[in-house]
Amino acid sequence: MKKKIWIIALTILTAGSVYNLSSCSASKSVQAKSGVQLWGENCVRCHNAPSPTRYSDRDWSVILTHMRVTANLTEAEETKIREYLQSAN
Amino acid sequence: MNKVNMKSGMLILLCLMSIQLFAQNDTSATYPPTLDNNVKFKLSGYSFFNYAKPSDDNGGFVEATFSPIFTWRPSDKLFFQTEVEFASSGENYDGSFELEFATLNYIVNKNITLYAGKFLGPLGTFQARYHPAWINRSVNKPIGFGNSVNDLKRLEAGSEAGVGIKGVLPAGNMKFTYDIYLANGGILDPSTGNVEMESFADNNKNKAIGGRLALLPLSNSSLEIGVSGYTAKIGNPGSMYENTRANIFALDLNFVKATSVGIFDIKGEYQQRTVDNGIRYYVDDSDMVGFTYNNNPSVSYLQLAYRLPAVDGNNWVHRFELVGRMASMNVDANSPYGRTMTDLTLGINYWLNFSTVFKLGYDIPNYNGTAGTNVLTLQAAMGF
Repeated sequence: MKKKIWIIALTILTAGSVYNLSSCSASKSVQAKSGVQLWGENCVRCHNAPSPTRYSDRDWSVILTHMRVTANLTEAEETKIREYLQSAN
Repeated sequence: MNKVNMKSGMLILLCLMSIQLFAQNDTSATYPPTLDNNVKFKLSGYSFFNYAKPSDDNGGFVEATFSPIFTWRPSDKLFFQTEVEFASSGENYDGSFELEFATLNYIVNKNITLYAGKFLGPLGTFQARYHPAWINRSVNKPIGFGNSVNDLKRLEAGSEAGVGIKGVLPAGNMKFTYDIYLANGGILDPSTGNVEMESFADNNKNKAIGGRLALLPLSNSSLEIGVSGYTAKIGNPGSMYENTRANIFALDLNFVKATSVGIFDIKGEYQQRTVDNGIRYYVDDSDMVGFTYNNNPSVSYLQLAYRLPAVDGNNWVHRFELVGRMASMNVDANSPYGRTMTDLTLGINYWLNFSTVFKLGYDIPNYNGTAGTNVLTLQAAMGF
């Protein structure tokens, strides 16, 4: 019984958090987004976003290919994020 | 204060001193250095060590791991990745070496990537994405999502050997992702009903088929909901278990949102593995001593992490992160896997930079209403 209450409470908390936080999400289309915005939105899905200066341009090129496959970035997202990281480096 | 507490106190003090040293050396210089003439190669990976103090025993350094990942990209469409893990853990601090994955990827077009080799299990998301210590917000893996618990082997394979196809399908402001693969499949232990999912020597002609389909409904990709499935024959040919199947079903959720009041990170996953019903497992087939149970164990976790916002003049405040996770493992009471178990893990993290973190976590396990042994764990983890 205690466990069920825990699960229900956590589910309600999660659903409520997702609803409230999503309601203020940007609705801008992916095509209209800049590289820096896509970098901020996509990296944090799994890990903290690294600074553009953390790696060299050549390293970023390899890393973005890896992330495209691992994190399922679209080709457009990969290109914009790579261009941002290399331009800001 | 007894000796154990004094040691724990000294250890924490040492770690806090290390934080300052690391923080002073944390520059934005490119790291690790890249050879100019080696433009298609990238060395990355992660490392961590754990100190654990059970409530009823002495504390000690229980695990240390170094996992380099080598990436070689001979062209824009083709790249190879492999991760090896050097680890020491257990009572004798035994060393181990393991090839976590070795995968060849070929990007066919903007929607399709083919892969082959040994790859991280694509079912759910924890193993495929969040298990590295510098990515996992909690100080350890949820019960059932890593090491065996009560002799029950993990429900999905940590790594599979086979081939697969994956990709992303944009749909307006939404995205669908897919991942479908063929692999050798698990092997049934007829004496217990346990299934060895990481079976690189196939025991039959049947190949396992599995996959995951996910939806990212928001244009900022902050929310991801995935569903996974798997089926395979797991019995040895010619045995009474020849046509026995294992099926896995998984659901996962990921939501991460940076706001003015901090970063909210919610992750969860549910897995259930079902082996055909009505099977009798024989401990000793010579005298046909056996038992029957519902072989459908399930595991789940829900984790909430909150990282404080940056405050003007106090750039260390946002380095702190609070984490809470509830995990559970449900098994049939007649199974050989012990009892249903829950584990509440509370933690606080201190981030030195984007990939280096000190974690302090406290596990509170419970077995069907009976309290287990609480464990305090300190972890230092670094991605590179």
